[in-house]
Amino acid sequence: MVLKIFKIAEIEGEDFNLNDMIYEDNYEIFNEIKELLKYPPRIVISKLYIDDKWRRAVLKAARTYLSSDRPITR
Amino acid sequence: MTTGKYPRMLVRRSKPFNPLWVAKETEKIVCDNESRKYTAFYATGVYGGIATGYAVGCCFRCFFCWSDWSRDFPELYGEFYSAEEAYRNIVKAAKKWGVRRARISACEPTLCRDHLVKLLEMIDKDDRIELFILETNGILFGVNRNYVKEISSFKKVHVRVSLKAGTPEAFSMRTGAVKEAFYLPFEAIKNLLKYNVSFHVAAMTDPRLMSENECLELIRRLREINDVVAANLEEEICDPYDTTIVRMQVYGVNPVKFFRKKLIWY
Repeated sequence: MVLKIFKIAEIEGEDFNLNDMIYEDNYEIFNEIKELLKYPPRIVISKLYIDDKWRRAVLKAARTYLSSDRPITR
Repeated sequence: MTTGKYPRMLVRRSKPFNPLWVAKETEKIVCDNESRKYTAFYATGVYGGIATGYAVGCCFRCFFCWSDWSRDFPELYGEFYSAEEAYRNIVKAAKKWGVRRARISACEPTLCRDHLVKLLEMIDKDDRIELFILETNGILFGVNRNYVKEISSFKKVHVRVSLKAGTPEAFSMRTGAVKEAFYLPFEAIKNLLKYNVSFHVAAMTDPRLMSENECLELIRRLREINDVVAANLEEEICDPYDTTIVRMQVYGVNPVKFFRKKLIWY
């Protein structure tokens, strides 16, 4: 799920809220972070990272994202 | 700390300034106890709609900057508002445009610390505002860890650190500041991580300004600090605002050629 947010942020990270950028059939996977969907993707990632419960998952997703075929973030 | 002439618009090959000295000099002009100079209050569409206080004063002189002329001539623009007056105007703008987010923009918001802290205290207690975006160049957060610690106590604050370059040379060329200050925004990032502040990093990686190698160097430096920060990087594009066009011309970059160049990402 966190990796998906990184990919969404690549398209639009600041000016739209995450809940405006996910499709209904995808909505279920974001159930655990319902209260954060009102924020833009980059802010969601930041807020998850400072939450102990999510910290490791965010770090793992960031490393996967950085090692993907996109050598620099754009 | 170096002293000298107060910098206005950046001219190529001008003597680099110490941004901490410029910050202090600017504060003498735009801060008055708990008050700070602002030019306007209204809401804009960025961040999904955000009430904005347009404040005066910065410690960089980027030639691609979009801020109004108050950046270069802070003595000539704006009126002083106490933290409470600024807070009321921001909330009024939020109400008028039906938004629940707020920020201070067009300046370096971390100047006038007392003003910012008082403003954030009021924002934090107000249910009408859900999020405050603190956009900074990272200079003061880089030199003062306690300032970051103080900001970490405000739960509605999300900091956006805006990087201007990937190398000390490019940093000095684009901002007018001394090369040694290049490292301060990276120190700010470390401080924000240390105090568990919600933040992300943005960088002016527009390929018309920044080469691929420089961009890779910037990302390498971010990865050395933290992979999440690097993966969550917001990349900025330079837009042809009236002020940007003039600043580019004064600096010696032809704005017509610049903005007619095709934007090709690496």
